[in-house]
Amino acid sequence: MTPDEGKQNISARATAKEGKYLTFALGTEEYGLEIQHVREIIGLMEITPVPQVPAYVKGVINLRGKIIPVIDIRNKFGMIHVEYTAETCIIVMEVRGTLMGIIVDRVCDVLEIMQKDIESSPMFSPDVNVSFILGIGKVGDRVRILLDIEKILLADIKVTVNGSI
Amino acid sequence: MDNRGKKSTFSLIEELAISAVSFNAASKEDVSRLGEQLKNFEETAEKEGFSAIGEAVPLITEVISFLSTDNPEVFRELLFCWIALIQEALASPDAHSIDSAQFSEGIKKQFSEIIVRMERQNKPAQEPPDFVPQVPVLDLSEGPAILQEFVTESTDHLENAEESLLTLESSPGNLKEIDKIFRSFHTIKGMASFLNLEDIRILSHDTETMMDFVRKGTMALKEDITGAILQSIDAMRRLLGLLKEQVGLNGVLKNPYFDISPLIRKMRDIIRAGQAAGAPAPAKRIGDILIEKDIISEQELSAALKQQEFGEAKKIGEILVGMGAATPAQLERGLAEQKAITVAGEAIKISVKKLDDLVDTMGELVIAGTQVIHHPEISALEDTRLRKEIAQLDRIIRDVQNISMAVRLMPIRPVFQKMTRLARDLSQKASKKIEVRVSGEDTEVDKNITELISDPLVHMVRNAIDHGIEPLALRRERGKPDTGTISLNAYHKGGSIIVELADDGGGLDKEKIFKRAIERGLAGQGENLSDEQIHRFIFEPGFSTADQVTDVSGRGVGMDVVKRNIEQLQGRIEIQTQYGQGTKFSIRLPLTLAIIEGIVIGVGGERYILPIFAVLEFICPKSEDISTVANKGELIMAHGKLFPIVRLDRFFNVRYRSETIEEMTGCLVNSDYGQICILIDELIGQQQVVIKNLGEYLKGTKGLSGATILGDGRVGLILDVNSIAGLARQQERSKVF
Repeated sequence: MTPDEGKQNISARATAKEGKYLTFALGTEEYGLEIQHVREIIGLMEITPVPQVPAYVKGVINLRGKIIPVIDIRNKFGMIHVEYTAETCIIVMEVRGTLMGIIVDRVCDVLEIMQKDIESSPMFSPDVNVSFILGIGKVGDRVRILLDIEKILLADIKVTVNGSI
Repeated sequence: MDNRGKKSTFSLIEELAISAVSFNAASKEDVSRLGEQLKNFEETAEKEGFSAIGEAVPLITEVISFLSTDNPEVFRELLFCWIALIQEALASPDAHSIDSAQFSEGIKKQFSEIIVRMERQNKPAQEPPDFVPQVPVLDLSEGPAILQEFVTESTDHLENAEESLLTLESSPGNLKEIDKIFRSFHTIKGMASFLNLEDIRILSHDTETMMDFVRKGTMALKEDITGAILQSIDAMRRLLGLLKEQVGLNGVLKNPYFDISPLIRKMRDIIRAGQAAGAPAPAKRIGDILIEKDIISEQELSAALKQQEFGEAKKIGEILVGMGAATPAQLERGLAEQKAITVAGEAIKISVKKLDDLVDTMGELVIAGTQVIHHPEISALEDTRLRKEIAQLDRIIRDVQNISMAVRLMPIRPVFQKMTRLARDLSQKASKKIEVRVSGEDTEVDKNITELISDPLVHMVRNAIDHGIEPLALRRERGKPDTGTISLNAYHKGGSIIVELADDGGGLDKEKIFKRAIERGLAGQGENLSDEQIHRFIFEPGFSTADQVTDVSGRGVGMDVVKRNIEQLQGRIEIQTQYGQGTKFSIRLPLTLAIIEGIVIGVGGERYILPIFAVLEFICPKSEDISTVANKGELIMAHGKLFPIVRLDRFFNVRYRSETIEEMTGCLVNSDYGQICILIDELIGQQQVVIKNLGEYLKGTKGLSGATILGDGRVGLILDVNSIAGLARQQERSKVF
């Protein structure tokens, strides 16, 4: 499949661009986030739970005077919950001016991924939601799932707003 | 359903009426906002079955586009007339079945009458033209930057002039202010002629000439002159507005133009009169003012002057009071007349975002500082010098915090100035003589508050003029001076700012309000209510005792909006009134919206903050005080009254630590749904908290109004009592089914 065909297949969806990605692990799987959205990585800190929000919103933290929401990406993706460990991290992202943190099992690396190494997301079985996936990046023999963080978080904003009216 | 619908159409027309009062045709924003409001009103009216009323909307929208700019005064008249007719129609019992064609015809007829009348006013017959409007070419060889500068500077000058003018209304003869106005227009004239802005030049020139007569004492600053100057300020503002639109554009600029000839004609009349006549120079010294008022004699004044000359470094007023020649109150009144406004300090513009960041970081510094200073190992140190230095550091941190908070504060003056102007316009409209007294305009409040307090005040000023100040005949009958007084005051009191609006009008009629409350089912016949409780009925939606409705107020949809707005600002409004004597509204607001006084409470392992203004009291609940009502949840008895109990674990993800009700604390709070009792595990303390919003992602989360960072660096959520009461109610309801 040429990139052009791929674009048509997934219609209006954004595709992964060549560039630097921060990779993190959930269990054995590795995911990539566009580095431009990443503000910082912090260790797990005390999270204040917020009522009346979906379960994957773990609460809010105080990041040097700014209050930012934190979501558990495992929970969001419907994966089983694992105990937080010393390696558990919060990646602070900025999406359209909004800061928010995502909890991941472990932060791995920053990788430069070339256009030739990016494939548009393959068709999984129908119950896999691929709309959050920008593409698949292959570096060496490993595969990273490149996430569309903007979509993940903006979809959430909609959810919370709807849920509150 | 019908009732609800009516209310909504009502509130929309009320909003329209507010917009109409402060409508400024030169402001693009105002014009587009009005358009939107009208559209919204049309849709709502039609949705709710007021078809004739909905169909009457295009009559006014049609004329907005051209009339509002070409002839703002006519447009204003039309708008007021239209709103009055709609209000009248809405009030009639058969509002739903008005004949559309007939209604529209009626409006059209009134419109054409207004237009004819206004045209006749504007065009005095057989006047030789003093001023031939021209459309000169604008020479902009100097480039747009200079134009931009001109617009900014002139806008400032106009504002200063307006302020001085309003000051002069209450203290005529203040030479300093007259001089200021004169200079403002002089500067504008200079710049305008340099830029070839002919219209602005002519306007400022004529205004300057009038002020010159006043300055030299050939003419007294009477209403006609003040009016003409204010009009001229407005006209120049409009021209500047038109000019500003073009600033960013490249290429040929058009000289802004609209017909200023009626105004010029008016000013030239005054100038001619000034050239012909002469008037005595206005008095200006406090001694002279007091003599004029027969408070002191000339001998007393000269004695006082002598005393001042020989040693005593006191003000002449103080000496006079000291001599017993005048009372402090008399002196104060005299000084008010004389009062000059001090020039505000130099200022720069800073983006609010930067200030917010500063305050955020400051909060962090305070917390980090506290953590270090109170660290056990540091506290254990015995080195006196180090301890001194730490104490010094602590003080500096606190100073910087106070300063960074103060940066967001600004004087309430612009708001008061706007109200003074509004009162002036409205009093002419209502044909009532009204004097506006302003004090405490230098009181500083948070920037957001100055923006948000304006709307409720507009409402209240309108009410005061329309319903508060009585018609002349009644005032005379009651032995009051012909001129009604409205006073605006602002001051700080115990961590709050108080804004007062008082009038010496008729006061609230307790009997009438109570009667209306009974009619509307808000109170029971013969119910024993305190005066305060009865007066507060005016804050109920749709409550009005007005016998007649004017084009600006009287629909009763007003004070509830005022109250709501003020509560949004975490404030409170109180009424003091004496029937026949006057009314005083006191608005108590927090010093800043960024900080509230909060009560920290504990539920399970979590800590929440309750805004103190919502809290009535804390009680120790006992199981025998609690009763369960079928399908209505639990109620608790306190002071002989029953309060619904709200348990936070029902909708918050928390679990109470306390196992029995006796271990808990009950927190009685005021909410939109009445008073409720929120159960908590413990009361931790009271503290000031810096409010932070929850951000885009969590915005609108039910039960919360924001968050803050507590002393230990953790996040504490600020509870929204109204929404919690709403959630509880919803839950009780769903239980029924």
